[in-house]
Amino acid sequence: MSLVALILSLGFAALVALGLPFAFALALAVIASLYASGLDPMLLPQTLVAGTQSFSLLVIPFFMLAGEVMAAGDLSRRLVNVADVFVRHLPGGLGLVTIIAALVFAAVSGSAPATTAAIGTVMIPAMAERGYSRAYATALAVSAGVLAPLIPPSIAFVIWGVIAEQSIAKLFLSGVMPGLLMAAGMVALVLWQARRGDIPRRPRASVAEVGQALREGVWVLLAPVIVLGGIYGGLFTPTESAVVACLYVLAIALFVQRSLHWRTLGAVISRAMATTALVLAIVGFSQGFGILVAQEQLAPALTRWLAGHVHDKWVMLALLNLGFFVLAAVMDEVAIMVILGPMLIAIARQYGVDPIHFGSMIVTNVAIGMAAPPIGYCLFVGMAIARLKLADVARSIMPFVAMMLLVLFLVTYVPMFSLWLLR
Amino acid sequence: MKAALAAAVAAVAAANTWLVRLLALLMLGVLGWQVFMRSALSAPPSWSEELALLAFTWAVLLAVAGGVRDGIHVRMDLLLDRLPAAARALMERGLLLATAFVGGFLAWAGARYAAESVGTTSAATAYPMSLLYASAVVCGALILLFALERLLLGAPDTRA
Repeated sequence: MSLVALILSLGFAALVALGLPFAFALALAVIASLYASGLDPMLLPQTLVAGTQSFSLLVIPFFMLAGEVMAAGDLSRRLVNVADVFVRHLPGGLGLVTIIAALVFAAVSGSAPATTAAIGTVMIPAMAERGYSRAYATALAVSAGVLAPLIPPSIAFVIWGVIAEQSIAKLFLSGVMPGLLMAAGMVALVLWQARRGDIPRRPRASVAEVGQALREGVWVLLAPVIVLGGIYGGLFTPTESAVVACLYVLAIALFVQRSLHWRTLGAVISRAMATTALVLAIVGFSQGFGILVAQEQLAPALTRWLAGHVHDKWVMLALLNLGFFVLAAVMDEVAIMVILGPMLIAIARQYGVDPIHFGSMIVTNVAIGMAAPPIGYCLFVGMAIARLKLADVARSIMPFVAMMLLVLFLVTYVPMFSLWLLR
Repeated sequence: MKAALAAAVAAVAAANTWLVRLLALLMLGVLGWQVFMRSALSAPPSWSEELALLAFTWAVLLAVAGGVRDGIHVRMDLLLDRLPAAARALMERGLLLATAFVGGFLAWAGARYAAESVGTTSAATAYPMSLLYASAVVCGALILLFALERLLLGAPDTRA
């Protein structure tokens, strides 16, 4: 192994283990490799800037902003109210409300942390108030939040589409069935929990209550129709749909429902841009890292080695899933996607895996990684809302993670789940 | 002296925050105009995508630097959490030094890159490419500044 290869693998891993943020660990590994290989130091700024010059990646700040506006502008509460009047009388009613509201929210925002924060802020206290354990309520809100990477539009699919050079619109469609399957699994778990627990059922909503919830929520319910209808009706590109989503929810919150004040808009934009920066810092600094990895021929070498040792495609996919799950326990999922992306794509190509099916499998892994202990990003969002520690929530979220792994199994071994809507 | 330094860095950080907000609004306005012109008048402007991407790069890189001040960049702290307090504090200082080094390097290498690109312009709007690459210089300088602030003055209060 060359010195550069050592820096990019062991050096980078050591920096991450020591606690340097992923983005700066990538940058430092690139800097050290540039000196070790005698390449021009300008590669770092050049690739960093180039990494952000992607029209597809422009969706990220806009979907983040749409999510923040919906949360700050009270639109997520109205969404919850609509779901509430339809399913609250069923066993596990509030749990079902959480899942449905997250599905609709995800169809506008595309961001798992934004969905977890928006829905969790409303639903975790509401569920705790009605007798659900706080840990269970948090686990459910986190699990519902990670539906966002699978339900279109999805930021994770956009990032994967850019890395894998695949159609983002097709990747979006490949996530629908896995996302709905995961949501169905959550519904089953909620119903099972409701039968086991002693949570009182609430009365059915009156016609007047349904009418009021629909009147208050009609605008926000139209948002996913506009976003998804725009993309698949051929009106907008995914990036333009994110812009339209943003402008739409801003108009609703500022002018129609007047639930967002101009004075708070600055802070809302700052929050959206801060979250965007977290993702794009990793994406940006990984560009130079990726070029050096390619130069070292690490991906082809590993792919050849794997091809020599693992002959069955399905065994290879199982190993990739296992590897992703283990890595996600210590590493950010976006970092895994962008750093290992070229290698993963080379492996998928070698074994003849359909690239869209493979994208769906990767993003299902991303969704699971965001919810799974010990460092699932959405798990931390949920814990912050509920003011609970990891140990409190870890046990409650395990059944949900197990169910998601079952969905991953189906997504991996039944390609039809991902490709059905593309036929 | 320390208070004056802290106030100066806070002013730079506030200006950075506002610039990021304005750039985000600029992106939104420009692309909103593009969508309107294309779908309503079938006459998409030629400049909108390029301008939005310029604003995007600047906004993201400035926000990345702002994230250093707020201490929000994603990292793995499993090892840090297991260290005794004194060792952890020492390690945190080392990590901030490493971050400051990345910032300084980015500013220096970015300045060379921006200087090399003087005279070249973008395809559609012909803006100078050094304007785009200057974003890496400013990002690097701000990362250096904010990392040094945390190192020398401690973590700032960013709740406001």
